[in-house]
Amino acid sequence: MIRFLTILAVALTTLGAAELTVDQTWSRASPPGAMNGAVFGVLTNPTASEDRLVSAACDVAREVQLHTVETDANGVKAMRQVPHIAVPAAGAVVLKPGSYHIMLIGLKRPLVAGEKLPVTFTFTTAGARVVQVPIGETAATGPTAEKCPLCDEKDKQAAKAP
Amino acid sequence: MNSSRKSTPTASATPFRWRFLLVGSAVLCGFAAVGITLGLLVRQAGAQVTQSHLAFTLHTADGQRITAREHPRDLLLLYFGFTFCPDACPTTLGLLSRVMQGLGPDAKRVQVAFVSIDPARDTPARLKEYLAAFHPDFISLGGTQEEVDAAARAFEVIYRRTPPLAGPDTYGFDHTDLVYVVDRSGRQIHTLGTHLKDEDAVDRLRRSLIALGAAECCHHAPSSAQARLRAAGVTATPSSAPSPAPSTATASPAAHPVPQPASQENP
Repeated sequence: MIRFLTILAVALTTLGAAELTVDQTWSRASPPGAMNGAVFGVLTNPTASEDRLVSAACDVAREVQLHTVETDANGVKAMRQVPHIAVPAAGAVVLKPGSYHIMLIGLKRPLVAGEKLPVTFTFTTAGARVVQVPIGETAATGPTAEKCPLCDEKDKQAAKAP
Repeated sequence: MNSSRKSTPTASATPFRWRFLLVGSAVLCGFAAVGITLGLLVRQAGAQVTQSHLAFTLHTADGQRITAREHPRDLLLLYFGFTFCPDACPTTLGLLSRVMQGLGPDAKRVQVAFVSIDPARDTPARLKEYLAAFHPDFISLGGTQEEVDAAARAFEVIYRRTPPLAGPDTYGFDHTDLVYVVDRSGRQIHTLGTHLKDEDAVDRLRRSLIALGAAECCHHAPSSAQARLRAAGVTATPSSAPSPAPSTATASPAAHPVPQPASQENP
């Protein structure tokens, strides 16, 4: 009950702000020689209409794309580029391993644990958001499982593990 | 019940409690017979499972041969991936890295091995550097294309190359994202994956190690191949030397010299 009230309070506060947010972002240090990296986080849309993440930019990579991972019945994972990531009205989307993520292709320099990565998220309605994404250890899991008042219950449980 | 009663000619003449006892013991005998038969069937099925082991041959970066039954530690954890893999592989290797930490001293009984499905780009040097970023004891296993394909088939791993993302050298793979746990008898006893919590994966491995520890102490002498591998140790990193024998109660070949049985594997 207390948990529910807390969630409600956080949700109301977020709704009060009534503005799309990008938070709980994280990335992982790139192993030596790795050419690619990924950025994760939570996109929360407290407004009354759907918004869309249409692009992301970061000067550390030659190219930045929006991706998702599909897993078939045999457990085969397939990463696919998507044209946009829809963030439903009064809802949230978790970018996480094994699901939606921002893909950094062709790293110009390694991602170093402890540093921050400036990433620009561009939305159809909310416009551009520049976020300083903290880089964790190579084996890090992100904070995205912890709090996400507008996420589906299913999404929250699965936020750490795809 | 009814049929047993009718089939006993003396039933009507026998006092009630005797009749009851006779019928009761007949039923019990019947249950016992069925039970023993089932037990034997199950045991036979079990023996067949024990005999079947996975057929694959791969090699470490130093050319050491690894098969389902010839591997240097009590458990071999195999993962098929590629170093250019941006999402699934680092996530799963991260899980394995945390699991190794969670195992504490038992981590020395577990060998994590990464099989590259992308030998064109994954050179031995690159693999070594990449894996060391996750854990100093992780090793890579490779082989000819046929050998890698055969190993993938043995575990029913599926992988297929996908078109480049941006530029000619940015192709990827769709692939099965699971870790296969192989014991000393060459059987796959578990799969692990990022759907598991760290502590659940640790728990599974720890329970398997306890079971294997008991089995190894009392029933199996290490085969000559295993002894050879243990003596050689895992040479992935200098940090894993100089004591290759697992720090457990399992019989080490040095402490218990046994008559060398004829190796069932080809050298």
